[in-house]
Amino acid sequence: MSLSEIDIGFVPLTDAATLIVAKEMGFAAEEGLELNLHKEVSWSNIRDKVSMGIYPIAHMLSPLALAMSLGLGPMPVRITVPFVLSQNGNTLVAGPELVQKLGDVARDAASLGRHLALEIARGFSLNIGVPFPQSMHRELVRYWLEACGVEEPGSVSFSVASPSMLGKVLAANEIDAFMVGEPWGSLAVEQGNTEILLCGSAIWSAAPEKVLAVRDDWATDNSEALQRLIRALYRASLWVGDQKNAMSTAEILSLPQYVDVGSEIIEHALTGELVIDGKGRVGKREGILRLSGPTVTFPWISGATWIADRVAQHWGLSRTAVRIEAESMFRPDLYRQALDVLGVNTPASDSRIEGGLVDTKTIDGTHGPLFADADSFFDGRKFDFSA
Amino acid sequence: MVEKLHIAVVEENAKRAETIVEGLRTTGDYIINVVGDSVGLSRTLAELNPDIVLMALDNPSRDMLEELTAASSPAERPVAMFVDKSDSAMMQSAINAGVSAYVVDGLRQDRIKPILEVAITRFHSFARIRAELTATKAALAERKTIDRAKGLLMKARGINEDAAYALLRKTAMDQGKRIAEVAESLVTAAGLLS
Repeated sequence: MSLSEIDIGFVPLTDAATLIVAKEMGFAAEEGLELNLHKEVSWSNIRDKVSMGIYPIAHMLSPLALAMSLGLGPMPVRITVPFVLSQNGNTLVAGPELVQKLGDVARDAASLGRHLALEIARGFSLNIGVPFPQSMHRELVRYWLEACGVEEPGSVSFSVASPSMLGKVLAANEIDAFMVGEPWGSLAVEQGNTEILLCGSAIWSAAPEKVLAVRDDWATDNSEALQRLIRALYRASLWVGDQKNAMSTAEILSLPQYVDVGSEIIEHALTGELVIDGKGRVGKREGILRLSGPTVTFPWISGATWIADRVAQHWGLSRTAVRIEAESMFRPDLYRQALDVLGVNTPASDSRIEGGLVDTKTIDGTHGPLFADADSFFDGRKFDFSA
Repeated sequence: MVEKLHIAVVEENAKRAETIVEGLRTTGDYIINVVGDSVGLSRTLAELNPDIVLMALDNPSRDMLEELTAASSPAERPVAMFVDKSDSAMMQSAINAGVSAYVVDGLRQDRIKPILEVAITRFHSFARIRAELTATKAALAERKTIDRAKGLLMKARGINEDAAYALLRKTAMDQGKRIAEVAESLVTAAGLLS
């Protein structure tokens, strides 16, 4: 039997692991699929090539998928998100000047945020690099600083550069810090003179980061292939999430056609042990990058709503309009439908109270109780969208 | 009189920039700036304030332009990608050629079209030149490997150059391989054995 080919675009990042492993370890082939993975140097290229139909599917920043669906790009196209490729995975990397300014302030979100708010009130203008205007990176930084009393705009500005370039932009003193997906934060530390101040997970521990963005028309016309792809990705995600496969995953990702960075650097986020500064201090935290688990890869409607509410004003659109688009873009029904065949226990409800799980606990699943990873915000806020 | 259009070409590679600028010069009288520095790109472009920005799709700095396109303050001029959202054939051929174009909103399409057309042609021709260059380099490298393999055979078996070449060719034919591949294996093996 010949395999059905699917062209998928990706940006070299550790959180593309599930797609890459689905291909390399044969999970896609077992579902009768041949994944042609195309590496792109920029998110603009991913967006435009999906718009033009060159790739029906891509590894994509969750807010970018929403922006495309809302027609904010040059060529609007509606996107469907049946699977979340990763939660978290970003690090906030500071240059030497900011590190010095922060001195011995405790490296937790609340202390750092309060200190920065104070500095900003005294006239310090903070410029943070992010990989794309429509990204969780930007939304997480905005949420964090606002919660600490900093009011954008004016006091905080954002500069955009692709993940592999942010380190150079920082070295050229164009920005004070940048938020980036792994391995680019770890690589910046490796190359010297920088410190990982925070992980994105320290702001929100269950942030939907990269999604499987599928052209809506393709999803409709190829529903059978899409189900097979979801199954392949789910099984690949379990393999990737197994700690004993961390080294192999890092080796595969380090290949030139994929991330093309040393496997020892890529491994940091996969094992959860980040080297945070030039002195070799190691920070081990849970959930720095989540790639697997039924509550991680599940497209929670409430996650989409959170993004919608954050970006609406910023994008000059009404909250209602953005919510409607976001909530129809995430498709937990497609996720469940595809995985039911495998007997996977998936969350029983489509939404949850975001920020409502300080510790891991069990929730209701379609096949009984389901172990859920923590979902909390650093400031303890809870978002109940059903209210 | 219509004002001259101001075009910025973002390109690190001097050869490619030259190819594009040359092409643009043939279609009209424009103010053209080549921008190479990528770290402060958005600031440089904001200062230049061009009507059109041309940039390769394989340039990772492309995302930096998103800041400009997303600019919503009334003082800044909005930028849109490509000629016209409705002209998808043009966009398709631009993407195939590997070029993106950013255009200030409101610029008349008949003024932009010839520029994009020539950019597409030039990007295509540059890709071709590069492919040819790679092919030539590969051929040269193969030539060297074959020469080394011949040398090894001449020394090991005490035969002359023609006989060594004939032996390589016969082996290649017998194994259904290219001469360069047989030569490569021989050189590698010799390296391991020595």
